[in-house]
Amino acid sequence: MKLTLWQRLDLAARQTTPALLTILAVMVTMLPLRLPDFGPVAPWLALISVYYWSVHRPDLMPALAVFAIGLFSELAGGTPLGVSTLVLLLMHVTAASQRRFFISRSFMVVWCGFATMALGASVLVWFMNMALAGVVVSPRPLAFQFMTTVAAYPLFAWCFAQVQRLIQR
Amino acid sequence: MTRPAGSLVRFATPIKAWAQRFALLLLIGAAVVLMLAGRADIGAVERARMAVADAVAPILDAASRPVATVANILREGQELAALRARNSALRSENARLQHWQVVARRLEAENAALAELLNMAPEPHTRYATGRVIADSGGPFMRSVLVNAGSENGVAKGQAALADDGLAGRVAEAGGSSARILLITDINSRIPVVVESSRHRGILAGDNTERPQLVFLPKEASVSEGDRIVTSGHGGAFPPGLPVGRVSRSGEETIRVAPFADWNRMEYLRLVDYGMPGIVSIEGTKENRATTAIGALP
Repeated sequence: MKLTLWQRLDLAARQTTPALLTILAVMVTMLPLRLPDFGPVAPWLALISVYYWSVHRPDLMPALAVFAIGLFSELAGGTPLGVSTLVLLLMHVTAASQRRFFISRSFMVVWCGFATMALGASVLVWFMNMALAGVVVSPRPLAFQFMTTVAAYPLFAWCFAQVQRLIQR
Repeated sequence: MTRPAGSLVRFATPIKAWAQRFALLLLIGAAVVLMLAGRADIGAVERARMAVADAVAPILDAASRPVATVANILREGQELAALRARNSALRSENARLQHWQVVARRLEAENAALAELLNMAPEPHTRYATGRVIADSGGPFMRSVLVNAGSENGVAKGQAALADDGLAGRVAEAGGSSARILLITDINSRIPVVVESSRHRGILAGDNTERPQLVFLPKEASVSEGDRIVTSGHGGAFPPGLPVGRVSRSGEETIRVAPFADWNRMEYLRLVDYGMPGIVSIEGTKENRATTAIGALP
């Protein structure tokens, strides 16, 4: 069945929506909201997005897209190159491999799974930042970010679920 | 979606799965390589960073305006409540500053006369560029902001960035229309400073907390709480005398400085072009004056 141009555009739009949405979320995290000391405790939206799409639609979030998202968030955010990319890739691999376990479970199980993986991801980021900087860095801002990320998961999971329903074919 | 039947697919599918796994390993390897490349301080990494920053700067600029407007409205609402008290406080501060203006003019004239008498070299001419903070980024381990002024506004790497009340940071990377400012609280930030009253020199080292540390002071220096810290101008980095902060705690192993700059109300940053190269030397483009300038200082 040959697809017309519009159908191909439509398909392309549906397939790139999760990745583009994640990049948009990363840019939103970067906006200066001018709440007291909000910068260090902004939730790590890219992690939420990679986890959600790896579990529910891994075909829409291939490893290359995860790499591109990680690279973009590091180049735009000024964080050391490679750290977020590696952690997001590992998160993608773990979530996609556990997909069969999560797919038939309730939301709470999925959320707890995210919390566990986010904890591992946060600790890994902390170690890598310390290794790259060569000094001991206090884990407190990281703990705050972990908590805000886990707390933000339900809201963004709901948004992504709506998007998933929209792009379904 | 039906899969095409035939022997070809029986051959291609395991190859496809294997290729996917290989691609994943390749990407993980690429991420590790990136980590090392980022650490190795390659120019290409910096250019890529600024290219991405230049690309997203217009979007962030436009998106941060409504946020800034809302934040301003909320702040104005708060300030309306305290308007009368603030008005009288401002009046008395104005009177005090008028007096200081008279003193400053007199001292300036005296300074110029004495400098001429001693045949002193004149201070370089200072130029300013102002940029608005469009992105507050860096995650939990890097304190840096993005401003919408770049090399086309005269911003270069190593220049000082001033907030309303004091030094906020320095330019780490300058793109065409945007620049990344490393704040003084970041762990990579090292600023040569001097205690204003006693003129003891030291380095302000950030450690990712609210209060950066004051290190490398001379042994005989005794710093007390409330001492003003200003930039020393050493290394040809910043103009001397820029206010940095006040000593907030001393007497233990670490001396901490409370910066004057208010991170929560940092909307505009002034970037100072002192006419001399900054803390980092600029390779390839201009002559490597930074190293000779450091060598020439006493």
